[in-house]
Amino acid sequence: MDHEPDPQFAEHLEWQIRTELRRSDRFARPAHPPYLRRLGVAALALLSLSAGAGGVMAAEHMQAAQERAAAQRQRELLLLRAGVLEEMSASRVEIAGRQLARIEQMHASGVASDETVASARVDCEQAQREQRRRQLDREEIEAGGVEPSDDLLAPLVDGRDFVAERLELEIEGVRRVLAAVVERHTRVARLFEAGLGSSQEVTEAELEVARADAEIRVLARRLDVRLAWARGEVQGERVLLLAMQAESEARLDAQRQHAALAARRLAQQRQMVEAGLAAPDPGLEAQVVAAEGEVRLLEIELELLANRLSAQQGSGAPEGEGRGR
Amino acid sequence: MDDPGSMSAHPRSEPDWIRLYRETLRPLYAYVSRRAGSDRELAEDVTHEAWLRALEAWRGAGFPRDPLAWLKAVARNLLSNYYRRRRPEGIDAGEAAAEIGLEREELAPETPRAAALLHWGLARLRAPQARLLESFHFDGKGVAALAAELGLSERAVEGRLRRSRLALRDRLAPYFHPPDA
Repeated sequence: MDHEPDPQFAEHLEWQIRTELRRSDRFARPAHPPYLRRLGVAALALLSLSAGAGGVMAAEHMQAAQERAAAQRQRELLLLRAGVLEEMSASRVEIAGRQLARIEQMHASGVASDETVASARVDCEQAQREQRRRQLDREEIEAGGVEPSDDLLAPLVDGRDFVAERLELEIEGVRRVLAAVVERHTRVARLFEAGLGSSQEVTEAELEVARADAEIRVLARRLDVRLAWARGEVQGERVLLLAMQAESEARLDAQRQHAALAARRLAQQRQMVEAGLAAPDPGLEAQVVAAEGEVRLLEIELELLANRLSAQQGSGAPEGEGRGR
Repeated sequence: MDDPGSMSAHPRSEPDWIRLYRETLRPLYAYVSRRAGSDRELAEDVTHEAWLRALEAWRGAGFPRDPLAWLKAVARNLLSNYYRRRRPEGIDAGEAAAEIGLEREELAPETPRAAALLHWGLARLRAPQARLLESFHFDGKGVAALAAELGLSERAVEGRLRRSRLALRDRLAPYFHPPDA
């Protein structure tokens, strides 16, 4: 297979490099300090103004050119930053990959536990998702020239819904975390049943599962709302209210679970006190009261949001901004 | 590992530039052409663009410590961007084996469409798998070198290469159709 450059191509490119080097040497503009550049612009603008209507048009033209140049500079800066972040995330992926490889080797020779391998794997996947996210950010800047936005009302960029793409990625990440905490919960529960672990550890693992589960539901609802917005089914403020409602609902579920677990722990503690195996713990009672109070607050928050949403539906939803950029 | 991007001496004269250009052109072009399935037009465009970017970047900041590595990194990104935007065509399963080299456990795209398909598949693998396949097949790094780089045994590297090829085959499978289809 021939992978040699065509001599004509090689010559042409060499000629182009020579020409470009000479051109830039001959016609390079001396660098002026910024204040001199500003003075020059001001002098030109004054000259244009003094030349009447034509001068005004020239000044406007110049301003438009300056704005374009500023937008281009901003785009370049954003891309530069995004590129650096992407490279850093690629390095992290590499490091996490090596770490995983080492741990897998240790695991094969019986030195590392299943849990250590699982945790290294989660870290590695997390690093890959982070890299993908950085890549999406860079692609958004390339397509739109502005800072990437996670706002649910952010417009589509060049026909792409970067907000939804990032949410999908985030959901995938939390799903992986959920799988890991479920696994941990199963392990801890098994140990507890065998008399080798504490009920406290089981409760903590249950709480971790509840938290990850709630997080997935919040993200999934945000994604639903975003997609509905993109299809034109919901608009403006309603998008934000629906997202808030989703978040409050998930938090309420998690908080209810937290309150139930705190109550269960308090009941166990009371039994031990009655049996003379432990001293009363007022801190536990306070935790139950606080958890139940938080549940009530979230219920009120949800009622208010539901009222606001139904009132809005009655009056007709306000128009949102355009969906495309 | 040395950072190919770190800058060293400032370029001084046109002959310095031309010497560097002549030293790097052939390996850079071969690097691009191998990845592009010998698509001459694409290989020339990417080589050209990489060198124009080098002119722009190095004129102010000086030559990088490893100019060829810098050029290859730029070329690699240009190719990735190019292939990311192209959806590959379906390919006859028998032709795929020959053109991409899956059956021979080699990954050397022999045609532009095989290159497009291969890059599409690589972009959908986990990053470490894709990087491993690229280092082995495109950069010509041997198992021993990769084992040293990754801190693994040679056997582990061989295993990973095998699994990565299988994963790649899975990603590409929807684009293969029977020879008579």
